[in-house]
Amino acid sequence: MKRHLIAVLAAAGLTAAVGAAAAKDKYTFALVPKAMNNPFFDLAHEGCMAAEREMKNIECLYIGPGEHTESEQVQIVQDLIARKVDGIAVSPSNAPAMASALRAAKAAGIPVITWDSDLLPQDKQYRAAFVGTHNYDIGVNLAKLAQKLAPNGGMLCLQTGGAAAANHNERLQGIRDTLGGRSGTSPPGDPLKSEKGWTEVAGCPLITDDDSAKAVQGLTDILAKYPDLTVFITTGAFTQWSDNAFRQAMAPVTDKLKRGKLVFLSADTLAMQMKQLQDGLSEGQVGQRPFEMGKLAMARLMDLVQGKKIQDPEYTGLDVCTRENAATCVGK
Amino acid sequence: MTVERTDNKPVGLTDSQTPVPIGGQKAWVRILSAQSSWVTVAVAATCVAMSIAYPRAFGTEENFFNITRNFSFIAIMALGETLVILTGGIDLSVGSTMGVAGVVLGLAMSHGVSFWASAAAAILAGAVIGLVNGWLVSYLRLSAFVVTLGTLSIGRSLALAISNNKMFYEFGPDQRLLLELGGGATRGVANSVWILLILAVLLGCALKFTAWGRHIYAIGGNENAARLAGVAVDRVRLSVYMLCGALSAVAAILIVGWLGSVTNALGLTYELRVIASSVIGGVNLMGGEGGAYGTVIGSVLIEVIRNTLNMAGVDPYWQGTFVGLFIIFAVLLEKVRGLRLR
Repeated sequence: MKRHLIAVLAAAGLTAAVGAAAAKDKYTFALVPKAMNNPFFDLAHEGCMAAEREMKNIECLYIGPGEHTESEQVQIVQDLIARKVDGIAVSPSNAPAMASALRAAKAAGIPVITWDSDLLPQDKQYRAAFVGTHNYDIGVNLAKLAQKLAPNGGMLCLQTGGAAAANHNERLQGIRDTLGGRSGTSPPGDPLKSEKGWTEVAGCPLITDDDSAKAVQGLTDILAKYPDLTVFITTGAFTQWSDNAFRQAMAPVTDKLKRGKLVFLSADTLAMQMKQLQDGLSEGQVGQRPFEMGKLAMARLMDLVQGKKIQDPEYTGLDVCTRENAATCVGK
Repeated sequence: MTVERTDNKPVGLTDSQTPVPIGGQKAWVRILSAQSSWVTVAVAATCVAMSIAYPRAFGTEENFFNITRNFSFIAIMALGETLVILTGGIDLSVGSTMGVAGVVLGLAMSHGVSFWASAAAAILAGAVIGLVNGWLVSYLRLSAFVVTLGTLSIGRSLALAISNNKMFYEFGPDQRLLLELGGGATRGVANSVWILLILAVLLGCALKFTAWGRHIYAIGGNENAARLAGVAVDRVRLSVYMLCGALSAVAAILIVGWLGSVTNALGLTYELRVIASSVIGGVNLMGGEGGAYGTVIGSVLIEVIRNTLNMAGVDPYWQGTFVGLFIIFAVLLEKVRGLRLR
């Protein structure tokens, strides 16, 4: 029975593919974020809309769960496959679950790429390519800034999003590998215990669950507990996007920041983070390019529809910002 | 146990009391038997121990300033939650209400509306959500759990719709006032803590000394008896839900002032911490038992645990386990206390 069903689906997929090859005047491509209530994905949405304006023959369908829920996202993708959109770009919350949903897309001949976040290595046949950030490199770049500012190492605290978030874990791994001179680890890497002079203090990595209040409270606690802390690195924007609270939390250590005794580094380059960088509260910001991801995802889906071969993975690059280049470092 | 309590609880009993034995109960016995007293002891003991162990990190003026500020937001919401629980209900929508109120405030202020008008709009938004909850629970007799589970979802979606998923961090001409109110301090104590103290005292007095307060306990103790005694059960209950919504909005205004930004995720999952605060402070989920002081000290304990675990360098993966154990321990304490007095 199941085999029959697959055969029917495959036939349907073939017809759909043939239909698509006959060049429509307008293609509907879905851009599926992890959650709609996250400013990061908003920028990708803008990139997607920009592609719609420039390419003229596509419609950007931006749809995802209101909040970060794994199962809802899978259902949305199933719906998109059922209504036979012309292409799907998805940032999977739950990689294995999404892979099993995307089997139906493959059967239906709908081109799929992943963006921002990828499927597991063993499921890569279910998407044509990955477009997005090399998360590990965010960690590497943050660590390089730390090495430059504190050449002898010192006491370190890392702060992360959810404990199970793959992208944050890869960034942690990048930081730890680079500072400790390690290789062959798996995310989130192993805590540093005086390798090359770097030691992670007890209580870290701080887990924030992407809650900004919790992130600032954790930062405050650690700054109070360890007056000799050398470097604090956070792998997401949550610590800094509460501008007022972050500035208050950093106020007691202004003097240390000025003398370079304490270094704060963070991922992302939102507007208020850049202002904080210029005001001397942060020494470096390493940002992704979500706008570029949204735009590129549409272009690559078009390539697939037209039968072109595309590169996999395709990294959208990083913006590495310090006070010197703060005015010009953020691309779009 | 519940039946026993509702049967012999006189209308008008106040703060965290147990059934009164024949012949009355001495004041010190009452204080010793109250759960809030034991939580106070636990808080004090933790603070003393931590101050000795980490004098330069925990026992500093700065850290106490941070701790008090951190729990004030949750405690203000928990005051409203306690009122609802006292009537035998529950409000799961407080976190979402905070989100809606915060977004309303942010949207209005970023369009140049004055702070006071924006704050009034935010509080109104909170009260309206409370009105919907209260009306459905009181007049249509729907289950409070289900109704507020619904408004939890509606509120979060409203926050998303109203904000159009934008983050607000520029608050127009009155920005300084907002940031000062939520993030500033008066006489070395965070402003949000002063507001919490004022609200807690007002509410504590209202519960003890007004007919409205006594009616709240009466409804939670035995609704039918209260109705027969002429208590306007539905109206009192409605007022309680509205006040709970409004207090969530007050907490929202203060936390937005502290954070200096607001997204529609503000207050996500805070209902759990709020309800835990009330319960740890001795508020009985069956209704009719608990008070303002216990609620505040319950939220203090949760924050002190969080801060302590960070200061003591406990592995973050295990921190949730500690908080959970404390919640269960608090309920267990209540059980043991009940047995001892019988």
